[in-house]
Amino acid sequence: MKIKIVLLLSCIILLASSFTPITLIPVKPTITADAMNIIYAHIQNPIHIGYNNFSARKTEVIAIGISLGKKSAMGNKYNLIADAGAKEAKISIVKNKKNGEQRKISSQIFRIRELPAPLVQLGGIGNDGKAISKQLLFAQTHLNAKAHQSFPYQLDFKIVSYELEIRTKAGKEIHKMDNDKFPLKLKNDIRKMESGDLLLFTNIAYSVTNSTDGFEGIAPSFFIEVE
Amino acid sequence: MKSSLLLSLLLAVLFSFSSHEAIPIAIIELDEMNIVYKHLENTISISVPTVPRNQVFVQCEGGYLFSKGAGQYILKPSSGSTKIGIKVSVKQEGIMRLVGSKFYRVRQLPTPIPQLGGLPNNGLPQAKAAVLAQSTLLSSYGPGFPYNMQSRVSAFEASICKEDTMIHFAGEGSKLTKEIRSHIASLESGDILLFHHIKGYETKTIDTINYNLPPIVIPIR
Repeated sequence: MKIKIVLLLSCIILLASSFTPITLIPVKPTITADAMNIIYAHIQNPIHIGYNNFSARKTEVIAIGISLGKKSAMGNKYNLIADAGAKEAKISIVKNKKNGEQRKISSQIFRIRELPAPLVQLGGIGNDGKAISKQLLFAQTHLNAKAHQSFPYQLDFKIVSYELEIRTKAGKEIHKMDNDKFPLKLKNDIRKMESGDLLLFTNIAYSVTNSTDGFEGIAPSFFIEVE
Repeated sequence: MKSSLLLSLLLAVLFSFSSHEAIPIAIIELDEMNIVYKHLENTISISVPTVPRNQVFVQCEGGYLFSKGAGQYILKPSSGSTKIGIKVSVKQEGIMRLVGSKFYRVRQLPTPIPQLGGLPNNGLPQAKAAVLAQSTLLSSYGPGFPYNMQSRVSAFEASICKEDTMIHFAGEGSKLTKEIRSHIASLESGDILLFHHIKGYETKTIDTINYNLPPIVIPIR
């Protein structure tokens, strides 16, 4: 009889234990650069969610101010795209309870920021204000646009159009280009330029080819003085 | 019978020690935002859920980590480093155990973009009245930069391109001189105002950084 009671007790203990999660998974640390909570508009922002001590399958990710493009089968990687006009986004992880209620586990607020304008230059000529020889100008074939190397994401810029004003002592001539090319016909005009004359690159329209919405903008203008 | 009782007690004791409700925590991280900037005090938070702070040990390679307390740290890249590795260990029962690590890419600060007062530096034609209303050259890293910085213009040159003449001026600090402003007042449609050889510096970095800033081109509408 007593043996039966003992066995029953053991069974109850074992059963109770099987319902309680056992902490065998080691804890993961959180290492966060506090200021880097920025989601950029117009591009995909990859995130991953690290789950400490529970399974992603039991949770739901709720996003405000952004859309979550699911990326991974494990449910822990997403590509975030900011909603148009949103300034802030909030991501919450909630655990679905058996009774249908939800329990919030974590939430984080992100700032939504615009993409920086590219740095545009004529070929390999830097915009440092130095006078440039005509020979060096002839060697250039197109305008270059790139993001500063400090920007975290790869941005592919394309110059859509620009205006070039050639200012000489004889007067000015304006060329409107509908691509990034610096063609031969411009070089013929440059041939006539003298020291101190200017090339003004204005109204430089660009697009971000790897953006999610075909983002277009106007880049800062620049000028080159002929040596 | 005694052995069965002993076994039951043993099981009970065993499970009372090994079974407890784990604290569920989710960490949401932007994969590409693992950037640490040179010249800045980059703020980092480190914590290990369920482990007291005095049992958390942090190692840093490629930079210097200074504790501010309460899991907050200042991270400064060491000279020449391009990557920083942070390793977090916990000490449990006298044994040091590595529980996680993360690496950061070290980047230069971007070059600030100058502009005349409130007029964006986009090269689009501006009304003369709008140009005249501005008195100072400003510079900023743009709204997309994560940190709150404060760059200043320290020197510049200005040129006014009229149909047949070009007039050059030297600026003083970031302010437009009376002479420049009086010439701006005489601008006509089609004339161009240029700011170039713009020098700048940053006030919120841990060391002095001087910049050569890109030019400003303002056609007059």
